[in-house]
Order: sequence, then structure tokens, then C-alpha cells
Amino acid sequence: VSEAPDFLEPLEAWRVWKVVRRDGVYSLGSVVQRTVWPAGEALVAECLAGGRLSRLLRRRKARHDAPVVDCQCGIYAGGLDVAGRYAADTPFSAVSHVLGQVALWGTVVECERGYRASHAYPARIYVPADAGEQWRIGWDEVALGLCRYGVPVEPVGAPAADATRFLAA
Amino acid sequence: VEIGKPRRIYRIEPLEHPVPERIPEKAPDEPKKVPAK
Repeated sequence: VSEAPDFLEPLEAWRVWKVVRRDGVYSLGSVVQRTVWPAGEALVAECLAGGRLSRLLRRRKARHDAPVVDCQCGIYAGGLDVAGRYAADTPFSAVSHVLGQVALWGTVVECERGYRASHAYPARIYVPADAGEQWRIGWDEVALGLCRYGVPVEPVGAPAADATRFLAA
Repeated sequence: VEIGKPRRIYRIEPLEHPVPERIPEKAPDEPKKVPAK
């Protein structure tokens, strides 16, 4: 007999994504890891601790499901203040940063200022006013491109650096 | 790590799946007209 779940609704928390554009298709990408979030299906966590070489070596040993308490793995999300620290950074190899709320479920490790989850999907996406590339891509094109995730996409009337203050108000 | 140390672990099984039905990435092409014989 399997154990009863603790909750029947997903948790929601904040995170920042970088927006990547390939072949004219906009996708959400993780800021720290090189993970592209699929549209229309849940992102499922795998343990990426230690980098590529470490993972190759570890394949010979038993791998563990992510997340577990005594590792750093899982899909991260936290409070708006935590997400805001990443929003203002210049995105590396990406069109821009966007903020949003993410639904978390499956196995979820609650931490002091956020969560690490096994399953996640964006719940709402907020596009800052300075999203895009100057002269080439406007925030509205980014917003339209992210509609393929099938969740509400809303503009934020502030640049990324001030977006968390705007959303907290 | 920004989110700090672990406190507890939950099992969450949503009754309603959080992933919406996929939206088509582009509108389907108009059906081609078949010439009348």
C-alpha cells in the first residue's frame, strides 16, 4: 500500500528563467543549469550534481531520484526576493530574463528559503519591459513566443532589475 | 545555495494535473483546394 500524499495541490513559488530563441522558437531555460523547459510537459528533475565528468563516472554507480535531502539536486524555486537576485543579472547566451511562478509537485524538499522539486511546470510568466534585444526583439515578441507554454504571460511595467519590486507591490 | 538548508520533505500528488493542454505552436495551414474534375 502506497503512502498517502501530503498535499493534493501543487506548491507555487517564484523563479527566474532565461529566454532562449532557437530557430525562431522561444523557450524557457534554467539560469544555472543548461536545461530547457519543455512546453506542454512537466520538467522532471535529475541529479546534475558535480558536473558532466562526475555524472559520467557516476553512471556506473547507482543513481538516485531527484531531489533527496542530502544532495543539492532538484528543480529550484523560492520566494520573490530569492528569484529577484537572478533577474537583474545580464543573461548569458539568452534573449532576456523573465520571472514567474512555478508549480511544484512530486517529491518536494522544503528548504529555509525555497524548494527543490522533482516535477515542475510554469504557472505564470511575467515579461519585464526590457526583455528582448535592443532594436531587434521587443518584449511583446518574447511574450508572444512564450504563450506556447499555455499559461498566462503578462507584461511587467518595469525593467528586469526592478521587476520584483513591481510584482511585490 | 540560495535557498538554504533542507527542513522537511513532502509528497505532492495534484488531483488536477498542473500542465495545461498543449497549445499548437502555429495555426494549421488552410486546407488545399482540390481542383474539381
